[in-house]
Amino acid sequence: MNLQILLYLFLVVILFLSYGILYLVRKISKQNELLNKPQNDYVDTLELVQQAQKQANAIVERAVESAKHILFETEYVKHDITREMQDSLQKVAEETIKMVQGRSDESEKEFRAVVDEIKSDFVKEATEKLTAIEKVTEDETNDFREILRKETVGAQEYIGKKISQDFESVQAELAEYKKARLEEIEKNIQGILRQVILEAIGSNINLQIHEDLVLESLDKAKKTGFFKNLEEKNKVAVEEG
Amino acid sequence: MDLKEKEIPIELQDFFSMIYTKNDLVLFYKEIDQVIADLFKSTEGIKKVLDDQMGHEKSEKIMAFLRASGIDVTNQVKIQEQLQIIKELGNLLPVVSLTLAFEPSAKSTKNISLWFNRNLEQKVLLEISLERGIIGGAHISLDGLYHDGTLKTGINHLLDTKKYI
Repeated sequence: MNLQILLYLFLVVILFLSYGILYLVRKISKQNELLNKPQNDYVDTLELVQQAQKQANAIVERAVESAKHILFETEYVKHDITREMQDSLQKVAEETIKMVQGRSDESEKEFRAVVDEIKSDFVKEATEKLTAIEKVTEDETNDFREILRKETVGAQEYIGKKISQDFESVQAELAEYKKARLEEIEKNIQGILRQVILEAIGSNINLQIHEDLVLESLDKAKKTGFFKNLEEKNKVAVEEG
Repeated sequence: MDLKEKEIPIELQDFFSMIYTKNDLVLFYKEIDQVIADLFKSTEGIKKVLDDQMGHEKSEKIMAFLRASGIDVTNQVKIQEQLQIIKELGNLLPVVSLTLAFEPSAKSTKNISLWFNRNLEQKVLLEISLERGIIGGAHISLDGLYHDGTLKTGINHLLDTKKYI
């Protein structure tokens, strides 16, 4: 409380001094303005100004002394107050520390209890969830395994069937190809054989056999009636002759 | 001269007995042409000219023909006309085309020609061509008709029926 009053007093003094200084400054500035006028017109005024300056200086000195004294007093009070405040704060801090320590021990216990409780709840919940997940995973894994097995078996059956069909198809094609090739080869063999026979026979026929073959072909032609026109023509000629 | 067969004073089969092929006939015609040409140059008579050009056998046959025709054998013009008639008579002979696998000798050609005399009582001229690919036998052509009597065809027929393979 005393500290506050002293502070207020100090502030008042400062304000008073400030006001006084402002006043003096204005007066000085007015005096300076007056000094700008022609000197003949302001000789008295100058003297007045000088006198006012002196007064102002005296006032300022007195104010400064008072302020110094007040400051000194204030400093002293401030020091007391500060010291008292420090002591009080120290006490408060100690009490607070004690209180906090006490509270901390209790809080720690409570905190630990809460943490343990939270921990056990978390563990329990986590265990339950993991168990559930594990079960779901296991079920899904089993389902997937079963599906995969069925799909694999199905795929195997399909592939086996497809391979069997393709194999049969290829076999049929091969058989056809083989048959065609054999027929072609047989045809070629027959052609070659035929040619060989003809050439062999032709190279072993002498002139007499050739002549006999020609006469034989003429006999066969006659039997087929090939020379019928010639015979008839001759017959007519003989009859007319 | 338009010659009718019934007016022919000779037996063609006999007259052309030495002519077996068409080539023989062509050569015979050339000989006749030469006789005609020599006839007007020579003074020895037609018989001499014929003997010189054709040989005895053909000469005799032509002389027989000239006598049978009743012409003067000293009349060169008439002889020439009769010789032309001989050429026309030769053109009356039927031609049988034979494709053979061999080149027949004179004897084989004669035997083949005589087959027609014996079996058809007809004198024919043979036109022989060579084709060794037929192997044997003959391919016969007459008046636009064809008969395949080749050995190749016969063998192929046998092979086709697979009796021998």
